[in-house]
Amino acid sequence: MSDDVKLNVQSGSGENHPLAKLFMWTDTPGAKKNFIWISVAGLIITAALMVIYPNKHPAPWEVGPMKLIAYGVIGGFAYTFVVLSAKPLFNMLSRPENYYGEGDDHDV
Amino acid sequence: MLNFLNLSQAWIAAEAPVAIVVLPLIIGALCALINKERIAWLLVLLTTLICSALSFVILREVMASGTISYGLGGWDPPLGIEYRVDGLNAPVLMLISVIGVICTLYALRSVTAEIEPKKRGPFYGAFMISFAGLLGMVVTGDAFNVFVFLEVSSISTYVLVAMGASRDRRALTAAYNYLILGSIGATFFVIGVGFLYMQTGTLNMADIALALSESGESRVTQVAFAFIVVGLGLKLAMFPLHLWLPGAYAYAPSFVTAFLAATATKAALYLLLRFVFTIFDPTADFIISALTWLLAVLGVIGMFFASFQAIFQTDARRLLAFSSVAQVGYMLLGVGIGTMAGVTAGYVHLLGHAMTKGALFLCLGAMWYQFGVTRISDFKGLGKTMPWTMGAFTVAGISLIGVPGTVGFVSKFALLTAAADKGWWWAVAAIVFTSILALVYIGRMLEAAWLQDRPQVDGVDVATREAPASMLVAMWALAIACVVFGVNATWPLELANDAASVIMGGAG
Amino acid sequence: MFDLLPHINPAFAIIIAGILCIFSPSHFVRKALMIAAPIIAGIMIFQTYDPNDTLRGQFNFAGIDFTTVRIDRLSMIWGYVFCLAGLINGIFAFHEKCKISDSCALIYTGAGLGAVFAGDLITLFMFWELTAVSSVFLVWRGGPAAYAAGMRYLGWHVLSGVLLLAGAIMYGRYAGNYDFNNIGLDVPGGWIMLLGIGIKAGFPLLHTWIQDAYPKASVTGTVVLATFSTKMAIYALARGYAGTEILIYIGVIMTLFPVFFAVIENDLRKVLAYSLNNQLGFMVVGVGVGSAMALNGVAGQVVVHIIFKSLLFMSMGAVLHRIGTAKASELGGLFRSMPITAIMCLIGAASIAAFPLFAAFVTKSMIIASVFENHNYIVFLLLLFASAGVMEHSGIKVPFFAFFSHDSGRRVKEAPTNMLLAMGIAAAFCLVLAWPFGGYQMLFALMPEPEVAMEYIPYTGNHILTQLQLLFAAMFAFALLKKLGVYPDEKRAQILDIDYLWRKPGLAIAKWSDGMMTRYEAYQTRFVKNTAGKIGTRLYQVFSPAGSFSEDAPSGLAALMTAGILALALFLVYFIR
Repeated sequence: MSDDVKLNVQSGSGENHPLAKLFMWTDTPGAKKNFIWISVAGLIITAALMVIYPNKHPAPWEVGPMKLIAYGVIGGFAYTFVVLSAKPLFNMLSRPENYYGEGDDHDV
Repeated sequence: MLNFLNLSQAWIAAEAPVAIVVLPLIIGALCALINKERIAWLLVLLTTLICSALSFVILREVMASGTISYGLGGWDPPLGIEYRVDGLNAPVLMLISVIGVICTLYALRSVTAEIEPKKRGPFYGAFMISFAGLLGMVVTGDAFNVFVFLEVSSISTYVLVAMGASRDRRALTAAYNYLILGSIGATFFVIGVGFLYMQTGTLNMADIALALSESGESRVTQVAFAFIVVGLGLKLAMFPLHLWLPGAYAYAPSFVTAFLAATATKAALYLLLRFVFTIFDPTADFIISALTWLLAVLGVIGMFFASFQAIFQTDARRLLAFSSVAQVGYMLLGVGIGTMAGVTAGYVHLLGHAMTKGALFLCLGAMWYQFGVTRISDFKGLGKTMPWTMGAFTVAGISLIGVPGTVGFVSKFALLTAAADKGWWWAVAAIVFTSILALVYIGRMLEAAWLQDRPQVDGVDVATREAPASMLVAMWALAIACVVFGVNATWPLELANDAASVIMGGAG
Repeated sequence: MFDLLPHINPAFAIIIAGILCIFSPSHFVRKALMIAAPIIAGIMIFQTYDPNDTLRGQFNFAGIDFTTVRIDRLSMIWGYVFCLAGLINGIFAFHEKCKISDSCALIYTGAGLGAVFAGDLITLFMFWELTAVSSVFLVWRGGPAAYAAGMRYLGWHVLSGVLLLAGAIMYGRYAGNYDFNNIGLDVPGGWIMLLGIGIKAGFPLLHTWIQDAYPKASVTGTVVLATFSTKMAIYALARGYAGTEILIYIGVIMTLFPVFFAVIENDLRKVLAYSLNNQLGFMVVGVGVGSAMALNGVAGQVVVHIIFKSLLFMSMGAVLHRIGTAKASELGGLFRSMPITAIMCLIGAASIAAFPLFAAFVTKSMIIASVFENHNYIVFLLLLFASAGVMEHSGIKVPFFAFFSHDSGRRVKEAPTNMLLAMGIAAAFCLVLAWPFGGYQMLFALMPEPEVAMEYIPYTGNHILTQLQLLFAAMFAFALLKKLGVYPDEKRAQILDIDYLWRKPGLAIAKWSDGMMTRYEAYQTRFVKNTAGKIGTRLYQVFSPAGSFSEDAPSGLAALMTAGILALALFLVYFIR
């Protein structure tokens, strides 16, 4: 497969695909800065609406303020834990790429 | 007219057990005398065809009306020599003669390539005598006569193996090794028969069995048993008495290898069944312990050792030879289980493995014929250069592994069930594990053949060069048989069941 | 003729098409077969489904009762989604000119379908092995680097099959028949079969073949591979082990550990392979719970999972096809040149992360809710934890590093039209099957117990809010960690998994023993020759005058061996009682 692939790779900046316009905003500095606020807004809105739609069968830990934000706390904690564990895990488990000596496939 | 046909049919059925042995003996002598290659080949083909027809008649007769007995020279047994065919040996007769036909078809081209012109007539002669010997030792009902035919077939086989020398000088050493060990085996066997004669005063198998059951076991019986089992064990390449086999299979002419692999060890295995179960009393303690420890345990050890050895071989024929030793282990395990189901499984494996291994060796021979393939590394790209040959090889190879839909699966499944019924879980585990080993050693060849590119000579791809039609017909006949009996397993299972009931009938 | 149709396993329609492919010289005939065969099989299922007559194609052979076709409500849903996946795969691979891939993909698809419709354990075993044998060629199509991985793949799968067979024989002896119904762990062979199925289902420690082989297979091969084997195993679990409690805990571990590997893995297709393992964990938990609702959830999850997972693999396959690598460290900013693929990938990511209106939202919650109903709060909490993990590796990491992140400067063509079409179909299903007004109801109607399923209402205000809150929190954490600079960059590396044990020390031991065996054999030969020379010169000469050029197995040694065996035989017949 590698032959036809290499033909298709053009280095440098060619033309963008016309539909790429859809996503160009993601590349602006504003988008990067404000992304966090979208998620904060989402969190606040969902927590507020939880007052109207309470959980009918709450888990034992959904008491007090946790009634509103239990899922956010779980999600945020889990995500952070996973990402923060990446560094020690990587240090422990990573080896040079051709460690097993079987050659590396699909490489340019 | 119809009356005559019926009469002649009856006559054929009556005389067939003798004709099937005598005819190839005469033709063998004739071939050696004439020494014209084509004529000899035609005679051999004709003879094997007639023998196949006769063995088919015998098989039908046995299935319809049970045991056939024939007193040689008008002397009725037990005085004279008796030829006796029942459900146990009729299928083996059929197997040997049909494989004989297929190998002869194949021989037309392969003998031309492998044997010096002057020796071709005698070569066919030797083949006929070996063929006759094998049929004789299966058909006879006389213990000493077995020894005679055993030697007849063995001596001609040594000659056949040695004739591989024009292709590879090492055939001479291999034949020599085979000669020494084969003679030891035959000697052990005849010593065992001698002990039996000493005790019972007769050589007729049925008579011996009768006398033994009357007199009960004694030290002499036990010694006779040990000698006979070890002697036959050598002939059928029971681990660790298999040392002659890899050399003999590797350096004999291809068609001889295929024929031997499919028939010679099978005939010896038949004799083992015949002696252990119908002559001795299989319910005796000493036989049960020997079955368990000598046949089953050594069989299983052999399965492992030989499979591992096969994995590490570089020569394709030696690889298949070691695989044969491993497969003999399966059969012995089936026999060693000692139940009806076990013997049936071992017997089916005997029939199935004959087709499978025969096909594999025929394919290898064709590969040597066209491209001089001997090593596994030579298999590179064979799927492209010899697609039909490799196709047959692949079909037979997956049958050897025991993939569902092939005869290999039928027998392995029967064996698994039999071992499970007996409660021998270690044997079940061994069968399963060695099947994976078989996958590895066959897979190595298939991988090289199908997944690697064509080999190149001076930077140019080697062109496709398929084996001659006569060879293709022979190997595909066996490969298709592997699949047909794998899909429609009723027939081999029925035959094996009949055979096992002959054996177990004595045991009650 | 028409009476015969219900007795033929629909799988054969696809398998026969695969065999025809081998012999078809024309590219277009093969592609037509690849697209038509799954449709025909689907129609066969539809035509022959009869709730009063689920067991068909029965015959007795060699004393075993075979039931080659069983189309009931449990197997039917698997059958339909396998056909749909086969169709999508056919379209996705439309451009590829390779006989081996085409025929193996079809045979593999058919084998998977056949296994699902197998009514007895022996038929199951046969199709089970056929999936292994046919699919390994798809791995090998990945090029020379995939060879060893393919071998390991084959080894695992054959082992899985023989374990299944061994267990089936034990079970068959106990039960007196080989019918494939609820098995459980209390019968002989139950554990062995569970182990065999567990290999294919990617149980922890038995999972490595997934991450080993799938990323090394070819672009189209991975998409096909990721669909059938593992889901077939989930079916076998659902059929044979529903309600087996230990599966809950096995499943929970399966949902958790891949999360940590996925976060450090660089090859995005390998990330998806870990993510696949994690998703299988949810299904295994559902089977372990075993209630009607849980099994409905498992069946539904299998359907949507096959669709969105192949969507994700297809999008990464398209990237690999155009760029030549799927390594996160080499990609980035691809939305500029492959925006449609990016949209597809985002739809797949939203589906796997279970955003409302996207596929997994309606099915995964069924499984989690059934755990909650059992008051198994720790498992419930761990599943929520794993859901946040899914958001990390499949919801954010895969699309972010491939299509956004910093621009890698690569400019390529958009994916080929057939790939876009295949992705479009899958994406449409992701949306339709989660659509609140008449969409998910179609899925529910197909589930094993539709009445129970219809009682479950996924779109409640609270469910939407809690799920959104969980996902927003994950996004917030992502943005925050990124801002703080703690989010790890992608680095090229080989990440060790448990297969390290057999790929390094195990292999070393094997090589060492092989070397030692060779040495030992040489030593032994010398030893035998020397000893024979010293103590038995005569014997040796008698049996082997050829001496110097005798082979590795001299007849002298063999003669000694014969004597030894005779001694053993005599010993046995004399003394062993």
